Amino acid sequence: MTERKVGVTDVASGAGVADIRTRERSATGCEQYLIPEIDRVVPFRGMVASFRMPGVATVNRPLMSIFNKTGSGVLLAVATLVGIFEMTTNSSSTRTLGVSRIGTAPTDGTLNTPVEFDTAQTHNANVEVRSAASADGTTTTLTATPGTSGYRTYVQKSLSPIGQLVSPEYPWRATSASWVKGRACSSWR
Amino acid sequence: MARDFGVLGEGEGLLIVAVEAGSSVGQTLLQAVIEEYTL
Repeated sequence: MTERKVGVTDVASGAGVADIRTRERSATGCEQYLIPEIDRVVPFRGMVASFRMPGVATVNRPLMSIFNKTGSGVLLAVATLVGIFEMTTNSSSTRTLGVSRIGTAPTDGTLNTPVEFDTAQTHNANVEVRSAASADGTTTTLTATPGTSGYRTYVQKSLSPIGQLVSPEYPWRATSASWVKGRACSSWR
Repeated sequence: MARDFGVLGEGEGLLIVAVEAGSSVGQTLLQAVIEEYTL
């Protein structure tokens, strides 16, 4: 195949001029080079936690919702979700937590404020995190309807002394430095 | 619980529920890391 070179006129940058960046090579003329840039604009990155939510004997009880409301103007990536369950009495009952995608904004409960990694950033008020306690140990009802669970996890049973078994917490990797950016990756690795 | 629950557009969210009523014998903490962004 015959090589076909593309000529570019060397003009000064200015309004209306789209630059193609090249550098001169003595042997081969000029070659184009690219500056890799993040294709996400990230106005906010941070973490959010619920208060301690006492157990309530209700099937499919909403515990926490993370919702991107219409009008936010942003996409929302939920990168890490951590659940910690502690027994307050002995029990051999099976219990699980389920995560589903929903299309209706939950109501009630308590709004939890996300905390930024970078204090120069501001959380989008249309991204709402709600949970089912208004303070540590104070139950409030979060109103939401679950969809089909896309993720479920067991909570450990506790057959003997109270409080000795705590469900595992997956390790945090909540550092902005480890965040892999890019359209194809919604999280870090 | 896990990592990477994907991307939520406007009008979308995630909900975490205690599936069985047996959660009455315990207490739960939940926390998340989120990123709000545009392309």
